[in-house]
Amino acid sequence: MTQVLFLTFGALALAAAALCVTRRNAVASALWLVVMFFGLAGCYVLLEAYFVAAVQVLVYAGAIMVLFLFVIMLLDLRKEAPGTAPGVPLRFGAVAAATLFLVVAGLCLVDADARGLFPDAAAREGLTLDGGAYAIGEALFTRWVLAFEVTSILLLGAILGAVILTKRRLT
Amino acid sequence: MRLELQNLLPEFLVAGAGLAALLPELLLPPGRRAAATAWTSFAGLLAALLVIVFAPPHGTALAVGGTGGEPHVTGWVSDGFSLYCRGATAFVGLLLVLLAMPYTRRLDRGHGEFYALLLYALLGVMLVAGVTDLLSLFVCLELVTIMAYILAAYKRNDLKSTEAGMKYLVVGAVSTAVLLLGVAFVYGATGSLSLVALEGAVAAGAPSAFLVVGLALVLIGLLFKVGGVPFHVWIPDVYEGAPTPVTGFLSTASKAAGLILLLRLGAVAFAPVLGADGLRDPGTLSWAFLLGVLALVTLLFGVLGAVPQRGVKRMLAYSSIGHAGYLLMGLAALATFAPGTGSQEAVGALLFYLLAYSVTAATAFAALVAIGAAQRDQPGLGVRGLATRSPFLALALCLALLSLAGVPPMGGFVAKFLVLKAVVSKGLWLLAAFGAGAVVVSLYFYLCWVKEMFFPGGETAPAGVPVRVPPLTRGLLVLGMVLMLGMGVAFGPFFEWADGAARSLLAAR
Repeated sequence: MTQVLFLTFGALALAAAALCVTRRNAVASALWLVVMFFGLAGCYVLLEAYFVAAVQVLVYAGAIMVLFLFVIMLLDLRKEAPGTAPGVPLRFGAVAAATLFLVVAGLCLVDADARGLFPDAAAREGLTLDGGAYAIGEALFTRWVLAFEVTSILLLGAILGAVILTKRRLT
Repeated sequence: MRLELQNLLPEFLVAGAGLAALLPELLLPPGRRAAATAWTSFAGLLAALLVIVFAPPHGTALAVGGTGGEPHVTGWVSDGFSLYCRGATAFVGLLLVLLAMPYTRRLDRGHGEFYALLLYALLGVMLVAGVTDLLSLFVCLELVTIMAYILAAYKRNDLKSTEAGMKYLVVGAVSTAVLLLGVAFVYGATGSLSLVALEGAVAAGAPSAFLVVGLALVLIGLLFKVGGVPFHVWIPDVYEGAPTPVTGFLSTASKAAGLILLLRLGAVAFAPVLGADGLRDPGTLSWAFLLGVLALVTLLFGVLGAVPQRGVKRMLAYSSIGHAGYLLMGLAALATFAPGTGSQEAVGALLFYLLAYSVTAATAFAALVAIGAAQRDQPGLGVRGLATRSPFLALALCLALLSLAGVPPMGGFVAKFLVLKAVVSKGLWLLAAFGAGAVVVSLYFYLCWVKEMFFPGGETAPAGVPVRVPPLTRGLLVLGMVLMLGMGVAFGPFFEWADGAARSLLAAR
């Protein structure tokens, strides 16, 4: 059952991601991205990471997508982008990226097959997984407290930067 | 969990100064903000440097586990290596704050923010020096790069600066994604984010494809930061477009962050492992070969690309790519399997190189800021005939260029010599020969610029008004020149410090 659900959500996320990058209409792309986020959230639930799944829906599919759509509509990008042929560097980059993807994916599949990185249900029996808010909070404020604090400074700097770079008049 | 925050005291001082640098913007009248924020930042960095030099904290700032079968994990460490890197960063930060002063004085807005962002970025570089796990590595490196995006676009009404910020952001975002993908792969392969676990997985031999792919992706992400070919394309445009003090930051501290991480990672993942039966080679030959080829290509590109450049900043951008080639050369030496103490020699040489190059580049950019501030009415003049307008500036820039080229009495010469010596002691003769050859070519274009300053020639010899150098910049340039010469003549103490740091980095093996 889990396997079936995983494959469903995984395929959904993959298909939506592919549609997201191939649409010419920016709004359609953004909406396919929402679908991708939901597929990913489903995968997180199956991994028993319930908190991450909830945050995925709330923050990514909710807040960040609203921001995306807001910007797209503000910039009035509903019209399709003009169909210019991609230049040589772009073609080269696309080929390089595709090659990288195929190599990485191929290596991983071969390796995972050889080493059994997809454990079956029996192998997971002994594992106790806790994906709740309590476990995440504990990890965040003990083991990763330093990274957490560094992130807070990063966000402060980002806010400063946003003010500096966008505000017309600062006096 | 044990939290020992006294080991993070220098970082707290810098972060505190970064917060305090925002206050003058709120409290003081516009005319006095620039100086107040600059001196606040200066005081914070100086305090951090004094703590590092006179009361160096040793130990881990964050220790987790160690009980109940759980492995003992350290979250952040203040060892000899991190102390050297943090000290060097704080010192270069002091130079950067001083050299930014003539620039920020002319800004009509955002003085406090400039120094605050600069301090956060420097804080990121200092934090990067002590990371012991891949997640902290990512977060601290992002602190550096995101601040750098903002600083590169700081001249918001300038088209080139905006372009620089935009290009840097897009390329940097891709590199960040690649780095994060690599971290995810390494995590998948080892089941842990800790570098100790990574070292164990590599030392066990026969690494899985997951691990190799992950390490390669992390390497790519870090090469972006250092500016190694083929991940260098952003450098010329960003260096040229960004405000000159920011270019100084990018070519010194920001580059250092990438190299520090490459060394931390290289020591655990690329270097040969010390087994029970002495040194053995767990397939590191391929890393050495890869790094060697990258070093060669980077060197060639940087040196040959710099020859036809017509702008000083653009030339220095290509020169910084060339210097990344030397840094990668040292990394290739670190990754090469050979008996003896060659690895420590290589790391020591790289750390010395980093400091010498940073001081030199800071001096060069300080001179450029002074020139830029003085001839706003003649922006096209550049450094042509600088000797007639300001012999002092011409002397400082000339010494910096000679040090970059690696001419004997300067620090740059000793640095290049040490790196090449480490490369030779590992038996990489071909690489060393290319490195020495590149010195000759680079000498040509650096000297062309020196000639441009002293003997502009032609009927269009610019008259120009004399350049007035403010006393502060004068002091900074004198300090830079003394240090460049000092690192070339009396390099002993610097080298010993770097060597001690290298020993501490490789002590675990």
